[in-house]
Amino acid sequence: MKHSPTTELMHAVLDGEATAAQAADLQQRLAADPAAQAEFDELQRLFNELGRVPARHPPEGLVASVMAAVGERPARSRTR
Amino acid sequence: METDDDKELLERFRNGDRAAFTELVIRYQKPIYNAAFWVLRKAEDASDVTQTVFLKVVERLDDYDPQYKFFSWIYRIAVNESLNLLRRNGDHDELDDEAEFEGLQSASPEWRLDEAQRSQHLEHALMRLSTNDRTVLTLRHFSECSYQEIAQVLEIDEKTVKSRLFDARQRLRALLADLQVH
Repeated sequence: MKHSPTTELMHAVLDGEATAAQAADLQQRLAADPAAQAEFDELQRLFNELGRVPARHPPEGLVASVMAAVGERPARSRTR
Repeated sequence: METDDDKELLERFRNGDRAAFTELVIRYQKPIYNAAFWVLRKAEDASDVTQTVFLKVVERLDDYDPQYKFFSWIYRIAVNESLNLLRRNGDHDELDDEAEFEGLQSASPEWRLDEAQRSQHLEHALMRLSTNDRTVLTLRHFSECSYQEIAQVLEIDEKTVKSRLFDARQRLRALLADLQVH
């Protein structure tokens, strides 16, 4: 898919991967472009909703089950 | 997600301390289970893969390169085991309906209906994405991995990570728009 530089910047900022200068650059672009601002708002909403997806809970007893399977199996003794 | 003492726990386990490994299992069972769940879309398969992952860690302890973070290594095992299971199962698109909306049952009761509906649509859409899209979105949004960490887990470069994330989000938005129309 085609990525515009402004859209790429939006993803980087929302992913927490942009530098302060890149974030400031995006703010300037958004201030000058209402369509880009609307796109950013929609993307931010998607990020927020993804952040609210509830975590699944592993079944109770999984730790005990894993440790039983590990058994008395010794870990390899070689050290780095 | 950096955990400084993972390597120390591994070293203790190498020296015979089982309690150290128990601590690692307690620490990583939930993130590994969640990563596996979103790749596999089935709770039972996610549970099986989670168990397999920890057994592989024990078997392959000597393969772990400590210059990398432990969680990147264990996530890589989890993703590979999940993808292997999908392949063995024929990578079909049938969904586990019971597991699919499990998240809504654990949502706090004060959630407004529209939020619950949006959440339901989102999970529905996530379930319908391709395996590659679900995997990269899971690592970024549910496992909270950085681009660099995702690159290590999936053994691809960061540019590809960015591109895959961008495309996956575009497809997710399109699916969401479709679900909201129908």
